[in-house]
Amino acid sequence: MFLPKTLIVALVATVAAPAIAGPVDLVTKVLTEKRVAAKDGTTRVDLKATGHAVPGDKLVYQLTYRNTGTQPVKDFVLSNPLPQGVNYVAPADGSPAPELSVDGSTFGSLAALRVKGPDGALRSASSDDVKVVRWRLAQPLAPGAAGQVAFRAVLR
Amino acid sequence: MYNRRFKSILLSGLAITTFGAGAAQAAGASGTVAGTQVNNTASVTYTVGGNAGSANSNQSSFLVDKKVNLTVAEVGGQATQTSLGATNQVTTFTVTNNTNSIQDFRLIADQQNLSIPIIGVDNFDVTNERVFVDSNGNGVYDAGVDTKTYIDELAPDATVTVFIVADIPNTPGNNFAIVSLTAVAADGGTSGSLGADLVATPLTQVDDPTKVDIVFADGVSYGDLARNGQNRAGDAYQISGTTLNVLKTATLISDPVDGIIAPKAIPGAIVQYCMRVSNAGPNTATSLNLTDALPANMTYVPGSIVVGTAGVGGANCILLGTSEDDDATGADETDLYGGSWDGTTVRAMMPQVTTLVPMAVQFQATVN
Repeated sequence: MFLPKTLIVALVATVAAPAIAGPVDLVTKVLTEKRVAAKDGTTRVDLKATGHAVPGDKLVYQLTYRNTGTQPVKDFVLSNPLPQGVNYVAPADGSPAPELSVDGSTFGSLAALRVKGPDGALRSASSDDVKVVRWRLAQPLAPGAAGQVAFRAVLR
Repeated sequence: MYNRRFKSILLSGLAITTFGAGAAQAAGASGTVAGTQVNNTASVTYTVGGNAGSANSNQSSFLVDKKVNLTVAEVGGQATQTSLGATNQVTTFTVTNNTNSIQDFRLIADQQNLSIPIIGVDNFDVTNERVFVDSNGNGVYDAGVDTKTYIDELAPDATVTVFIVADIPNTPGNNFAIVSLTAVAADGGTSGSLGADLVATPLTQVDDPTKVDIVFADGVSYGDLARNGQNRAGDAYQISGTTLNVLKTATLISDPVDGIIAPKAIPGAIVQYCMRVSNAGPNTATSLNLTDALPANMTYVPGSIVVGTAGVGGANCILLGTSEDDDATGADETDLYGGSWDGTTVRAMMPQVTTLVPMAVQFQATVN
């Protein structure tokens, strides 16, 4: 392979990203819902980070962010493209609802989104069509401030 | 190892995606392929002091485990019609791999040994019961062609036809035999040999995030428990047709000299003929037409035909019947039974003869 030197540099930079340590720390965590039968006959849903799932399993993705810098962070936009094989379901309990996108560029509520069906006609989007979820913080994130958003998903 | 499996799935047209480290496979009905690593990365954009910045998260991942599921189904919804003594009689099933990976399946041909009222009558057992996979995919058992006795390397969501082939013993009275096919999920990955039966990963096993666990997710089926990596379906062989037997007897009723006391077969004596029709089954005979030519030197007694359920025999030929006039028309032809005399032959019609109730035709003639 004869690659121009500049391209090699660019590739290295891509692999090494994030190269520059910014003032924002972002951690993602995936949990699987496990139904646990309690002794009193009820069923409790536990969230566990097992590292395993089978098709149909319910997942919760948690995104934790923190301003590690000394200045407020503004225009904070947190986006999470859904991994292949994972379908969006809903915001997790206690989390603000994300804006959704079926194409990665137009965001809105599910009701506002349209997708092209196999016959070429536009139809209302379903949660299975969601490709990217996004949260925008209205207020600047103060130094040292942190927060968490989360969404529920299912493994196809 | 898994990459090779993925390739064959791609070739089968289920998924057209590029794959490499961390790329999930597009899923069919059975879901994301076992062994796939599902990775998630989030990102933020922001401004600090007027300068735009961005950051990526760590990568959170999980491994897709093997969700074992399969369906065995009977094809046609009806018993295979066969006959006594027939060999290589076929019942047909399908086995579908609903697992999110390629699997082998061990096949067990079994049969019911007793009659269970809810499931149905089962009054005989087939012999020489074998099981074969439809190797050429034509849905029909080809002796000598379909020889494989286990399912090899069945792709996710793929279905294959399986035959139970058996011989029918030549024992009268046999009617219905229930057979069943059980498929047991087994290790795939090696073409040309049957893998070991899958074993569910025990809940007590120490979690290894790099090792694909095995989770049984199959449902309940005929005589089969849920979540055991097996599925089962029943089918049956039915021997159909009828076995009719006609017994004709002649009884002297009276003669002109002795009357009804110890009559002799002298000219003018009345003889009662009785034809008893019984059915050894297994099916009910319908639309019976019975004919009997009058012997020489006998004269038919007009209006003497009676048709109905059979009595004990001899003079008591009919238990419950209808008298028939001699023509072949009129209401008497359809009052359950029919009968007529055309000058040479007695004819009788019965709508059906069951295996339980023998029928009979009676008429009288005088000795010339």
